Amino acid sequence: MKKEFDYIKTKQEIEDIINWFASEDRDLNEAFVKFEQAQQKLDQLQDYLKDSQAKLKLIAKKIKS
Amino acid sequence: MEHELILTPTDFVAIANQVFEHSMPFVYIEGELANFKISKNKWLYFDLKDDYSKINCFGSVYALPGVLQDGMMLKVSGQPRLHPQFGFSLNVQAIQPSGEGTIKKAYDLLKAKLQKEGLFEISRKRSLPYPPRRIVLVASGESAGYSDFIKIVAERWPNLVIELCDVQVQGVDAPNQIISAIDEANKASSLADVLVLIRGGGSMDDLIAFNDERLVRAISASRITTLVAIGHERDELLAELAADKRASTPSNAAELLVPNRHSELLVATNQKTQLSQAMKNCINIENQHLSRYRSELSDRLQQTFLDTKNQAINFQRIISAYNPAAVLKRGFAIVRQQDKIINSALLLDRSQAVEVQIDKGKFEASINKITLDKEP
Repeated sequence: MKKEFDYIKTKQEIEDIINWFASEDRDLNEAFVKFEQAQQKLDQLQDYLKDSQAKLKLIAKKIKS
Repeated sequence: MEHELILTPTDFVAIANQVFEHSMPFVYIEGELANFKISKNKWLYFDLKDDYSKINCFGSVYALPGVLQDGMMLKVSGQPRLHPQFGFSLNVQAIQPSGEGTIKKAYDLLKAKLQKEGLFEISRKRSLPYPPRRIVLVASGESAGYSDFIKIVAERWPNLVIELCDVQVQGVDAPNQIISAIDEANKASSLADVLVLIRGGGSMDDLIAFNDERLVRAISASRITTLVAIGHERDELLAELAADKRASTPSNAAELLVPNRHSELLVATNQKTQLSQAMKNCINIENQHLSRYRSELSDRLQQTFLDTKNQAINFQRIISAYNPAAVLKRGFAIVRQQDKIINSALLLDRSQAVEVQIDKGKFEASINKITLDKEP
């Protein structure tokens, strides 16, 4: 069974990464890895929002018809 | 005398009662109340009289329509009977006040009594389930009020299940029939959501059943929430005062009972549009969050790179400071004797040559004299 995408959790993970960047013990190698991870998560969130927008359009269309 | 029929008193009473049962099993008599008394809280004794005659009446307190006082005009129904010991009496089945003055007086007395008991208290009122799924409708199935009610409910909320208890809503028998209907509805294994009692307009004389004490108490005691609508404009009827909710007419009862599906549909559509707009705003805000995250992440990575680069420059500066070549450039020299660095005059051997390394080369030298620093 496909695991349901958790928007809030993913958003929290991105905030954790942003906070990590403000920490003392960061290094450049890890920074690139984390940056990459955050970008991927951001893409997932954006896709999710795009899907939501499409669903919303469908609903609006149904209401109008 | 031999053809005369001689009866015993008992035979006469039996025959007289047979005659009553056959010729007038049930009578309605209207007259003025006199000698009214209640015995053992159970039995009623009173006379009904007019200018020329007086009839003894006997009955149970359950037939009482409310508070009665001598001088009131009453309409009484019952069976005429000749009692073997006490003579003629009317076995009372139902009593109704009659005549405007009496009705008003009976109404005021009963209203005061029930008010004192708290039957009309606002705090006792329950709110009607909205919209109800199933109702018991106590009404006359042939009345205009019933037709109006059904028509409006069907237009507004066709899914409502209506169980009709067809009763008389006028006349001496009306209170008993309505009370039975209320009792039955309250005894059902699955209770209806609302009990609705309706009747169209009429004079106070027509509506007197709705001021009957037993009926008012039945409405007040109903486990099912009650809605009473009696179409009239004047005094409030006691049945209405005891109900959880009152409507002015049967049509008004239908309007209060169920929503209008057309307006509900409109509200639902508006809510959907509002919800859709709210979702759109929500998505826009989230998109703004994501843009901020991207920009912040990019800034932070840039900062991390700059911090790392600055750190490397600092390291380089420190390391450069420690480079011996840089020291030689500033005019210092490294002295070696037999490949060992001599960092103290105490280590010098006068017999051996020393190798002196300076910037851009080195040379050999011999030691002529060693002068040691004085101890401080």
